[in-house]
Amino acid sequence: MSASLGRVPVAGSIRLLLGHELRLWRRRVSDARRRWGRALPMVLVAVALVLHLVAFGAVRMLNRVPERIDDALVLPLLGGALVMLWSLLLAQALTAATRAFFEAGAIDLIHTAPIPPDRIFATRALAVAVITGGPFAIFILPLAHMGLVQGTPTWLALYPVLAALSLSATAGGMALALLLVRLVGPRLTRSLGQVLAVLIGTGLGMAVQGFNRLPTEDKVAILSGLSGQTEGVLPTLGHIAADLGRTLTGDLLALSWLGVGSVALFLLSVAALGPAFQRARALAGGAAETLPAQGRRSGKARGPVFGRGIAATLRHKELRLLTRDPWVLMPVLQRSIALVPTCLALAGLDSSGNLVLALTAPMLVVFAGKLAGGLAWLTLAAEEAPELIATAPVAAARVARAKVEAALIAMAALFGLPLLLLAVQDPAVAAATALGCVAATGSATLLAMAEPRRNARRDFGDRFRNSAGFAVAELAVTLGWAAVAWCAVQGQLLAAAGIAASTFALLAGAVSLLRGPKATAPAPSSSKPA
Amino acid sequence: MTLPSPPALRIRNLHKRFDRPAVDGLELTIAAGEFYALLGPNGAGKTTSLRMVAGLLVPDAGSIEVYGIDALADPLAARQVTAWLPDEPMIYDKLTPLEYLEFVAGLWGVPAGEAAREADVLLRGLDLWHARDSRCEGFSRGMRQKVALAGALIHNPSLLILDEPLTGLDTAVARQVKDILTARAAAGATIILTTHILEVAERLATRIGIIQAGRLIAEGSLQELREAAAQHRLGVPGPGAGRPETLEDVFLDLVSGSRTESPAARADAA
Repeated sequence: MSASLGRVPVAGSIRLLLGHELRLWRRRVSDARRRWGRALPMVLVAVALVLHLVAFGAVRMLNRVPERIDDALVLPLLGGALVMLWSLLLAQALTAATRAFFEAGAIDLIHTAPIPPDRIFATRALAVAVITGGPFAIFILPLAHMGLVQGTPTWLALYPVLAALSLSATAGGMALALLLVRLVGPRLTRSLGQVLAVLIGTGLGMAVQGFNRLPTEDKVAILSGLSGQTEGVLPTLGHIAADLGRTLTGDLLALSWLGVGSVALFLLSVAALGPAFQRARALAGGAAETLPAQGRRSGKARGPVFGRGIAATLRHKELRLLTRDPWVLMPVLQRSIALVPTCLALAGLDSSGNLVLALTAPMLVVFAGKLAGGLAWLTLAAEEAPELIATAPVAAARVARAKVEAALIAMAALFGLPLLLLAVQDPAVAAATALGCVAATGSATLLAMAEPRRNARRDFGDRFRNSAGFAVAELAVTLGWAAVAWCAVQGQLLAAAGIAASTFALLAGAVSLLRGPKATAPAPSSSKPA
Repeated sequence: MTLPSPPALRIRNLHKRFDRPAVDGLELTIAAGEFYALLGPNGAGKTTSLRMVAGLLVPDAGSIEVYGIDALADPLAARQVTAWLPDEPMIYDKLTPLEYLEFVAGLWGVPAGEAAREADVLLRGLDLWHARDSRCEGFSRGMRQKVALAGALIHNPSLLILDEPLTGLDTAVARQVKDILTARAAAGATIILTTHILEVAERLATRIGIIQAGRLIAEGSLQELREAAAQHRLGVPGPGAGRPETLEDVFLDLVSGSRTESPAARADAA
């Protein structure tokens, strides 16, 4: 018997745990292969080719940058770029670490096994490091390959630099997540962790945009300080940044410091934070305690209202669920905040000089599209009791209509006041914004109605993961309406009409593609046939 | 002369296929007011059949009538008199039991006064009154199942279909559920339940059907099934011969045979 098991790793060893993670990852890849069929290798090669082509151009351009700027600024700027990369990695690590607290199901088996907690934590931390660095590697490592092709092998330093930054960011992300649990408790950590991750991820981007908007003399003063030409704190920062930037030039000493420091920080965090992680996980698992809805209520004063019409009953239920759990919409806020640096950059193109007004229209439209998409998804696709609704004596179309109405009522409640305030400032801008919001809301709702997949409410943050087409369509259509609003506010009505027509065509195409063949079952369900 | 009332459920030649046939020519008739237990091994087609009756699955072929209403042609009318209670409670974590009942009553269009009265009775009867204003998110499985049962009963269905309603419930909660089902049956409602707890079927059901490989292989009262199983044993050589005593013996005897006729069919043949 034991011979047939072959080489079995020591019980509960890190090798066994990592092997388990690797097997699960391999299964996910093979699932993707099954879904995509023979097209998968071709798609992967095509994506790799495109990424390397883009990287080829980028390396060519970046190799020429040092010729155009002050020598003393090259290393601090490289260091600054790495700090920005690290902040993005930290944001990703914080998100992954927060999720690790709330993982349930099969992972509970590992947590109940007689394995030392620090060993489990070490495996989880390594998994977080891979999740953190992996997506960045896809986009960054082609630069190293193309650097080699173009005769600048120093670009290969990106390999150890990215690995080191991923490890140190993981340590930082884990520590931040645990700090959040300590400060606000596990229930809020899930939502606030996402917001904090966005603020960290976009913070430096906003700072760079802020720097770009400074008067020229201030910019020169800051750059002089960073290059060590003045006194104060800036030269010190410049020195640190330069030391960090030296790693990208292939400086072995700098690389060694960064590598050893990052590994040490990672190991230290694994050793120090393991028990706290276990405690936080246990707390998160028991976070759903019984909460009184609004305290005890007397049946007549604030009790339920029986005898509403069917549509009113459905609308009321959806609105009640939304107000009970506003945190569920946090990912929408997260993604909207992430757009702020882009909008700030776009505002530089504004001709009128009125930054606030110029920004308001597209930002509100984007926010409206994203929020409407989220609300429609929650009401239509994330029905918690689909079988109850499907077995009720109500036609499916009537149910869908009532649910969409609930989402639109919520949108009107959220956007009414900002649009009114905007109307007081500038009625024309308000009108353009309102039209854009209505178009974005309607489009996002139509897309959500066309997407047939059913999901659990708690998966709201991952709703795009299952359908890349849905994600791309929603983003493209929302950005299209934002561009229409932007052009309308700028007075470029012809351009606005052209973009509106293209966006409408895109929407129609996406809806018909997403609908696909009609399902045969009247109501999807989680239950398996028995 | 009074015309006989239509059966609560009449299924004719029902077929449903997934990777393999799940329901294969099922014939089933349940009279109004019966307490019917549908038994069968895992994967026999019990849940699939009942999901088709509830309108959650579309059959490949066959017909379903609920109190004379063609459930495939007029599903809304059939749903109006039916309640479906699956093993996983269909409730909302963020609603309180009282709000849940308000919602379900609204879906079935129950008049306000009637719904309020019924909610009061159900919440007290199922020992949920103290928790009526607490959100369901922290409830135990038993509490959640009771909330779902209250939802299924608030519109006073004529046909109540329950799929494994007692799975995972503790003794006290299971007793409450059984009592309330018995009371409903006594009040004239038709109840169909699937269960793996044979003692429940033995004690509650007036008629028991055994389904295997998507077909009804035996049907009748416990007494009739005992006789059917005894006849089956007579045809099987070895120490198993004799009269089976418990429903468990009967069940195991009948599903272990490759093909067994229903008692009614045997009577016809005789």
